[in-house]
Amino acid sequence: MKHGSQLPRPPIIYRMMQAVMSPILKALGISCRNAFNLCNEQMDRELTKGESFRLRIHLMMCGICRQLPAQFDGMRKLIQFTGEDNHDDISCCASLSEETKARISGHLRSRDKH
Amino acid sequence: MQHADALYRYALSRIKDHHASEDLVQDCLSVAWQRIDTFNGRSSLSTWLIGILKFKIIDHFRKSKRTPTDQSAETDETGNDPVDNLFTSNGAWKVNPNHGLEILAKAPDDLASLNEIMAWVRTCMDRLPDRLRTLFTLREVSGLDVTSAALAAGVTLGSAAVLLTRSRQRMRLCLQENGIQP
Repeated sequence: MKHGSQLPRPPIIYRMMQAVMSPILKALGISCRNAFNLCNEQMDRELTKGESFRLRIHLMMCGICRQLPAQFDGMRKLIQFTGEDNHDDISCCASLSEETKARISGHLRSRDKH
Repeated sequence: MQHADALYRYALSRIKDHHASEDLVQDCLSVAWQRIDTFNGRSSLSTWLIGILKFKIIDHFRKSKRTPTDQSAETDETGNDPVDNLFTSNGAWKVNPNHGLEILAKAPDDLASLNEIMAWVRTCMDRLPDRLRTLFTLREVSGLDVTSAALAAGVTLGSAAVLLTRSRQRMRLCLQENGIQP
């Protein structure tokens, strides 16, 4: 399956505008793809002043990309929530066998003696 | 041993390996046993134990991937960067990037209370290739900085940056394709 093939196309106004503007934006290094990559990269590192400026310019004029930074932040928060309750939910039914508990107890006792 | 099951579940949810999880719990309790006099009671005992276990899990990843490898060329099954399908050759969107993610930008806290959505997030994480998932989990769930996560996952720092951005792209796409509207 091709990634993204099931998603709807962007609004018609965006497509019409990009038909004219996208070669220029690409040449200036401020295309939607550039903005998407910068939003993604700023989750791991501080952008340079130039990158930050290019991103701000793009987000000012592109309504469809404007939510990208908030979406990346939101995704991070959501994933952190997943991590916090992961051990209570995803493995909710998992538990150590009595045999393993006995082995660990024995191991701790033997360390205690030493 | 009252905390052992909770520790085991925590380890299992991170490393998906029953035997290794058991060993990590044993190591964790062993360290805790030796250092119990350093436990000052400012946090709960379970929080203290989970803290020790987190270090053990990072050590586990570090030991199991001793040689840093350059994984930056990792692509999808077809050999393409998944992002190529999202943009035209001029870098304009081919798909609506906000589809299914509107609420993510507005109220992630509200989404977290919805079990079905959290289950999808976990499913999407599980669908990441092993190396991506390990690195992504260390960075996003365990909250390590990029350098530490790369070291623990056994990838070079340069590769880690690429792999992390790729993991986020895949996560976004997976969430969009499955829809996370409440």
